[in-house]
Amino acid sequence: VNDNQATPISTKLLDFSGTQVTWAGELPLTHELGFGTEDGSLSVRNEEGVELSYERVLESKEAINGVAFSGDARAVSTRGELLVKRSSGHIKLKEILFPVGTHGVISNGAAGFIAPLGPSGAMTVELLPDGHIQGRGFRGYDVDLYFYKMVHLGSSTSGDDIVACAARTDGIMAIVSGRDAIPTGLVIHKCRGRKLNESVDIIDVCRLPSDTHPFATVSLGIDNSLHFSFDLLSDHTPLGLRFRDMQGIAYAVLSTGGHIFMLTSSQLYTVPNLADRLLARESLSDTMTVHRWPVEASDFMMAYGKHGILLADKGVLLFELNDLLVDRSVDQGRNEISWDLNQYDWEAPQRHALEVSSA
Amino acid sequence: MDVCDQKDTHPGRTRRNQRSYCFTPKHHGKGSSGDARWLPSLPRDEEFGVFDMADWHDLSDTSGNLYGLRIRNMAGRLEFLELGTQHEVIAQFWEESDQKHWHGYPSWPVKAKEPVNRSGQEYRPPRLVFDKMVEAGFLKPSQARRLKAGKHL
Repeated sequence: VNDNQATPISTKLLDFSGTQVTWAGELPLTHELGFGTEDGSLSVRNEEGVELSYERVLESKEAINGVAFSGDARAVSTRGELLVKRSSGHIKLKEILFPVGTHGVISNGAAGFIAPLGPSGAMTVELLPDGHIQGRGFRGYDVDLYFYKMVHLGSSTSGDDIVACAARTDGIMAIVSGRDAIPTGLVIHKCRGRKLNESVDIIDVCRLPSDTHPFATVSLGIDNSLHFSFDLLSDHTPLGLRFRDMQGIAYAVLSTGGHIFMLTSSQLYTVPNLADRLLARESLSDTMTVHRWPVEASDFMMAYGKHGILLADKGVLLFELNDLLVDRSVDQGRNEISWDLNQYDWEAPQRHALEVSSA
Repeated sequence: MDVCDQKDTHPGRTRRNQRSYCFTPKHHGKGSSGDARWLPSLPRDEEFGVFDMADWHDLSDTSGNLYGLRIRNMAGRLEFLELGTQHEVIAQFWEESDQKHWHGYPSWPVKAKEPVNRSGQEYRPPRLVFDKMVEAGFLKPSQARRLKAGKHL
């Protein structure tokens, strides 16, 4: 990989007056950008990064690690709490603070929210038609599992709702919920690395948008391995591949436009067209084009399929994702790197029941 | 109640405050399934070393509890190793008077159910401690932000 960038990526450095940003993402109702801070505030900005409002949303002043929207409700999560508020315009209808630490929160469709609680399991929040908010905890029945990062995949033909979850050394899970949003079961995929014969530590998962494969995902191992699944619900085992010479500890994987983006502790990697090629079952050549941006950042988010947001040490950087697809190396065309398919053994997926309780 | 078994203490004392340390059965596999547990493969000298580094650099919260990291220096690049069975990378050591043995356990990155005898306490490392770790040169700002958000290193 060539890391000498001939022309730097054009970025906008957003000013937060010295406050650290710990979450960024879409505010889909207003088509704006949201930025959660380390002291429990939320900055709302337009797509150019201009601040429109700033609100203290958490009395705890804890760092925000997730914000999600569903119907008339907003959920904000931290290491110490999950706050869910239903409102109509500016009128607050109902608010509940769940005193549970989470790794984040996502919308699970119109029904409400789902949040990973680490070794404690996970919880769902249902938005009831009468305006109430119902929390429910769940965990593997008779099996200890770590719930770390989640992404909503969609609904199956039978009406079940499917969420994928990176489960650290417990692998990748598909969480199945019924029409009433109550979780009913898990499909667990576990993987071992051949070199050390240890469980691979899966730390992120993202959906690969596809009309033909609604439950296709790519997951990220902490060793920078990518694990591709056509259908997380099926009995097919994922395909694990590892690029050689990737640097840093893996932090995040995202996909849009048929491309795959990986953030590590020291680089932002772009693998153009890899998602498209995997979904099309193309045979891959021995090397692939990988663009590398040396940057130290705590997280990487996308918004509206076109904006990239890096929570970098130099500040919050806003840029166009298309810029990552341009070969900016000094010696253009020299960013081909090799990869290996034979380092991982995926076990046949296991189906597990869940233990569900009221929160 | 002294949670330490007098026979299971480390022979050394911390370099800075001459504090003694004990290995509690509860956090070494004899507790309930909900108790944080040190990695069985972690040598006891290394567990004491995490406590000593926390004491040496005064990585403390406002209540005097200490927090330590398990660090491997790879040619100038610091690697943070897990020290607990649930992917914990930070250990918490409850504040004790200097006449008593200190003890510690791997601290979950997100708030867990509080044990009865610790009700009302934060039971996860406060933000202040991560800022101290940056000042001491152990963490980069990006790593501190990740820990504040409950993410892995």
